[in-house]
Amino acid sequence: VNLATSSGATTGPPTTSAPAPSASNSAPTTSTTPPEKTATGPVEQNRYGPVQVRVTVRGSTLVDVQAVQLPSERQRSADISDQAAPMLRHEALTAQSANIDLISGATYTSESYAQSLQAALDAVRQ
Amino acid sequence: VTTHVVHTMGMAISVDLRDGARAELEHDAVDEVAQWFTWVDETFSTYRPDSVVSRLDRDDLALGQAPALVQWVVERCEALRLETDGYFDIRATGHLDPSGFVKGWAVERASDLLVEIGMTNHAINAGGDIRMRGAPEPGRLWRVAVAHPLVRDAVCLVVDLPEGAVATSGTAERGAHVLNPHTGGAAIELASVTIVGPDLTVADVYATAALAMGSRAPAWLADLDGLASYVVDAGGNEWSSPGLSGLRADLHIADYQPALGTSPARPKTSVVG
Repeated sequence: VNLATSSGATTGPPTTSAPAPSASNSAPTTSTTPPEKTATGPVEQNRYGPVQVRVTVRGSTLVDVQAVQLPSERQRSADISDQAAPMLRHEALTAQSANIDLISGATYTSESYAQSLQAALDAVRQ
Repeated sequence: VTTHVVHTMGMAISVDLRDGARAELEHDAVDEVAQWFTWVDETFSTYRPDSVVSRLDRDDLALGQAPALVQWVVERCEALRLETDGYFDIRATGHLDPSGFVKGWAVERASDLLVEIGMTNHAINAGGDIRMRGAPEPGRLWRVAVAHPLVRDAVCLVVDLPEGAVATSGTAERGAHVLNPHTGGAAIELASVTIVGPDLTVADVYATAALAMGSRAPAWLADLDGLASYVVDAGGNEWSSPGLSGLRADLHIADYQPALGTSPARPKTSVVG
């Protein structure tokens, strides 16, 4: 299965720009608890290159996932990245909305992403 | 709820602890698990020339001289080869390679270790093979989704489970990497096999064996006691054992992934503003 071609969806490049202009993406040190928290996970290597994501949570709810870094050196990697960013975001939010605890048989890129996502979520919880 | 990620055996293993223990206790527990995986890797890895398995393969070491646990693993693999009509065979490549047993077994033992330490509610996910203990939170079952082997962004099955194991073997993650020991060819008829059972060692080995069986896998899987199974073939056709229906989560998967529920490219009148 070619990771780069298995979706019919046509998608644009990863949206790494312009975090949603929500009211409360700010204030790392605060006296009041911000309703939303954002954390960036470590860079995880997979066979196509580095993957890094930034997550936003409100309480214990995942509200957004953005790819900060995805593989781009080679054309093949770029093809994957173009599709991977929106899909990974979709997967994460979908899993959250369906209360899914665990994924069995996840593909390589998702796995790498999951590591980064989980690390980021841990960072948020601390 | 804390998920720790242990990088070992060439993969990332998620250790999801749900007991709400103090951070130091959790870190100690994860350290112990990581040390176990490190020992397993050093002993069983086929990529390390100095591992016990590599030395056995080169006849550098006789099986009788190997650590007792290694001898036990080789014996257990032989029993599983017979149980699976020869489709799980650690010598299918011509070399000794018990990796297909070791991963699930190592996770199974790691889960036992956590229970011994008092972490009775946890899950360990090693590259999509999962062992769950206790519950994710009081009064709720573990909810496990199976990634669709052919549709990149989709989930094909969601199950709610008490303690137990879920193993998926497929071609999506690592390509056609499973050999049919009887023909020597790559197993390509099935895209993935998922097995739900009480024990990850058996679930994982049987999933790998069923993938190697190809089209005769459903007949074999249907006869297994105490295991539920789910198969997607290379054409995307699904089959599940009778035991699986009672495990399916009460949700419509399509609600969570619009791409699966819609028929492809049906022309629609679009409303343009």
